[in-house]
Amino acid sequence: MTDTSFLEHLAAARSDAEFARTAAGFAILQIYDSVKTNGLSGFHRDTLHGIESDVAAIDAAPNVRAALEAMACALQFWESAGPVRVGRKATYTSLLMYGQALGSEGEWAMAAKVFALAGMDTELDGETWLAAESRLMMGRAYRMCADWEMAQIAYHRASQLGREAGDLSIAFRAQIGEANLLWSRGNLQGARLRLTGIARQARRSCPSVVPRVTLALAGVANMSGEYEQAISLAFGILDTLEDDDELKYQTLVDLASFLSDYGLPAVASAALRVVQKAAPERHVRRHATLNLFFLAAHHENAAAFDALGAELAGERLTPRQQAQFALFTAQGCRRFARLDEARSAAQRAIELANRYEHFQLVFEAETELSDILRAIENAPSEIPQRPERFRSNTVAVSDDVMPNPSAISIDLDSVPVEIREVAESLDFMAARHGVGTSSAMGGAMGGAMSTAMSGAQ
Amino acid sequence: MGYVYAAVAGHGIIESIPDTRQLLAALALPSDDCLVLDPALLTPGIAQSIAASIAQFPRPVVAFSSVSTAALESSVILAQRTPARFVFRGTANERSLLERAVLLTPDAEFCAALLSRLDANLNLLPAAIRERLVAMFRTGDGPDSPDGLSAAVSLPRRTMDRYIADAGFVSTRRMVEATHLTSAYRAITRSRIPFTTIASLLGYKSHRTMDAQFTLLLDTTTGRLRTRPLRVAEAADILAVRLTERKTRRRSSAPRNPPEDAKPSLTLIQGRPRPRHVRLKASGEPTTKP
Repeated sequence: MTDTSFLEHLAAARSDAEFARTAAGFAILQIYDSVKTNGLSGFHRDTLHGIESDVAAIDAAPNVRAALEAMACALQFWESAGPVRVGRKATYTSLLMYGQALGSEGEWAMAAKVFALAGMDTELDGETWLAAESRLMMGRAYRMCADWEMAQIAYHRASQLGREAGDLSIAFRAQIGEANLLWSRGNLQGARLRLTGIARQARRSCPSVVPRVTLALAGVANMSGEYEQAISLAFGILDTLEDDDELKYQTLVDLASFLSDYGLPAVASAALRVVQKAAPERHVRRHATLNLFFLAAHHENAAAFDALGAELAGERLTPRQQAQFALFTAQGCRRFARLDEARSAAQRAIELANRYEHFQLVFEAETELSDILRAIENAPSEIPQRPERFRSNTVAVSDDVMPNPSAISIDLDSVPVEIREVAESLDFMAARHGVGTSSAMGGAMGGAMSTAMSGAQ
Repeated sequence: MGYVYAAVAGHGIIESIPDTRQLLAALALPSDDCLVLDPALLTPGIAQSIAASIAQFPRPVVAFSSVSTAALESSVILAQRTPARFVFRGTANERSLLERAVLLTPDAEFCAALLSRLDANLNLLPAAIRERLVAMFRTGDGPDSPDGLSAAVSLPRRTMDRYIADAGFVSTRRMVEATHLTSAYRAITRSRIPFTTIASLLGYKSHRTMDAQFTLLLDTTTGRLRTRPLRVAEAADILAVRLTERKTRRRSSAPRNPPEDAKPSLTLIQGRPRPRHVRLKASGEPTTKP
């Protein structure tokens, strides 16, 4: 199955670089399969050395290259060290690294197959912890592909294996994944009940996982239109995440999304700028920049929009992100009455989204293009306001860029005190990281936002 | 280093030794402090020296590293000659794995005492199972369930259970539970890590569940064990008895290291007398009846 997935990807490759990095991954997986079945031979070693030098030359994201190099190196120690089997552990770990690297590049279908392969092999090899981890990652990858059934199966198995391996955090994370599937399918009430139950159990037996459950509950609250509760829940866990970078920045991205949905894009920008400045992982920073670009296209001035656009143009974006970048460019250009630029960006968004089969984006880009054409025919006008708050997509907020801002920015004076405190804290956090605060951006967003932010200052 | 600080999370004191000469000097003195090292920073020669020091003065070792050739070269040496537990970086939940490795380090003296008491029984096991079990006791790592163990030694679960029973052990599950107990023994007797944390790290739903397991295997609760620690020899005696309460069965006429896929049904095909504990179900599938 992994072979088919890679071959399909090779057949559909649109550039030499894409073909080369997929081919390198495919070749390593073939060798892995052969070493696993027949043991390591001199031929395998020679081939692995060859691939190691090839990988250094291919045009791939650093994490993809690192994962491929780790695989090539670990395979050479496959049968080493007797019963402790460090070579196998290292190989399985690098297989998981490769799956994660593919995921961070947006190649979720291939990532899912790699995780499935790792899950099967580790389980057969008695590496229960790695098997649980593989199944958990597999669940996420299938969720990103919107394959709910496979995601459900993977999460369920991850939960079982996590308990078997004695790692309750994996078991609980898998259960959170199952709850996320429920709300992805629209069952908000079921998801909330499930998450509340998980939170109760986690408080008793695995407190370290409680912030994750809380964040998932905040996502459900946001989906239910309870924006203030979502913001309070997400903000409430930030203090507890000082030594957990991964979850801290995921929480900030989610919080930004909730704030944006609520109608406080300037405050959302402050949160995103902290992520953009401080997140250790490049793909997380890139994700934040793209979100900021989206907010700039809809709420900020042309200078901020152009600066972020220039920053993103120099980034290595995944195909989906490329299509989103083009779409947001079109939206921003139309708002700033640069209609020719907007039209070509929208056309590019349609082409990219079609090429990589992101049909929701195709639909959005086509709608945008028709708006642009209408604007060209008539006088240039402001971007039409969306009639109501958009509901979030079917994936977790932090998993992807969420083009769902509230149409209207609301006055910070009119929001509850707790939300104002959140805005102040995020401002303070942004200032501490040396990035523009929401009050600084408020000026660009109109009088209401300036007034709103004066209190925060 | 940040990962290790986060994993220890105030449950212990961390001393950083940035220089290998200082490290080797520190290892030349008896101590049972856990040593956390990055094999990528060691040459094979230094890894050999560390292994020699640890053989002389045993202590828990955790090797935490990214996957690289340098790291694996040193890791192989450490794996062969020390009770090191390995955590490779690159997985999403590596933090919880590192936490378990650092906080649940087996007590070298207790493990040695227990293994010496189980030696006769362990010698009745095929090499693959014996080596695996010994590694699990020494490193505190390994398959966490009977099914995982049977997969790791490439034997059907039923066959492995039969070998374990034939060697005089109560059950495979109890052996696996015993490895959990030995990995938590040091944290209970020589640290102030809360019991709920230890229970959670071992995968027990509650402290009470962990206590039930300790009472079964060691005749004491974790609370009592912390306030009135047993002598190592006494604890090893009790645990060895709990693991081998059943009398040792007659030694099997099967070879000591039979083929990995050996199944009772093969015995039937060859026309040899059927072992008493094997009964055929209607489907023809053998069932162990100890």
